[in-house]
Amino acid sequence: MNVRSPQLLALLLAGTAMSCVRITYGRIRLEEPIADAQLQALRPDQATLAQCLRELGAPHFAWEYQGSGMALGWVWQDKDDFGLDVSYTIYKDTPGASFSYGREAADLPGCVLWFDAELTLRRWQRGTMGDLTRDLRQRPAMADE
Amino acid sequence: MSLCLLGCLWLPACALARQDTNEPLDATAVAALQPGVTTAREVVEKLGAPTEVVQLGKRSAYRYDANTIKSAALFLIVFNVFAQDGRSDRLWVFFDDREVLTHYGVTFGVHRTQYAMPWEDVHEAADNQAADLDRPGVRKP
Repeated sequence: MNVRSPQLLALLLAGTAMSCVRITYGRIRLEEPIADAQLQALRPDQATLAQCLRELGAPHFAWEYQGSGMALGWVWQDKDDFGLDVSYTIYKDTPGASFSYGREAADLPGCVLWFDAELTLRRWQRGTMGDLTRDLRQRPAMADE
Repeated sequence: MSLCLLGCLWLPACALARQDTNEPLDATAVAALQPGVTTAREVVEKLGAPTEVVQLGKRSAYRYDANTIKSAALFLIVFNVFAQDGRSDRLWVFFDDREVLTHYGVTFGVHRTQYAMPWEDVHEAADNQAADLDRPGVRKP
């Protein structure tokens, strides 16, 4: 390329520089969040596992709870970022849609429902998965163990 | 030539991307599950190998899932926008100690995934209902 005009060269350089330093707005939404009203409708000591599954659908996670009970977890994400190099920050620490319980899911908002041995709802709570599942086993034993 | 290159530098550009994991769940096969009747063996025969198996005391549970992520981006050189929408089909089947199905919970979501800009609402009920119409068996009775 033979650039004879200094003005054109300056314009080209400016354009190239701008493509390196850019402003990006990004938003990531994973799964549909569970509304407060849906959770409020589930009464502890009354709601059954069947009722909860009907109302909330399938969870993302299941854990053993106090031997014969279980805890079920739902997660979602609605995160946006606005910055100079969001292509870096927006992807960083962002899980894919296939959640596997680990460090990446610990920061996600969600809810957990705890069921007793009779599979009656004992309680539910919203928060980040890391906080909600602190007392739960992270990796339930395999069925044949 | 220089003008053409300059023009290309300033041209806005769009990008779409899609990532699928696993086949969407078969809603008809899921509807055929009968708590108290269907066994773990029959579930595996109908739905294949689960993604995860967990032990819950004397009970056990299998997880089946499929995911779709749709991404849309608009590149305006200086200002770019980017959005990603991800949903999943999920099925958890719960068995008693005799490996008979006691409960199941299912969510069908992959067909609701949208290419959208960040300011667009991807969870509108009308959009979800329209998407559900195109996928037999996923609407709640």
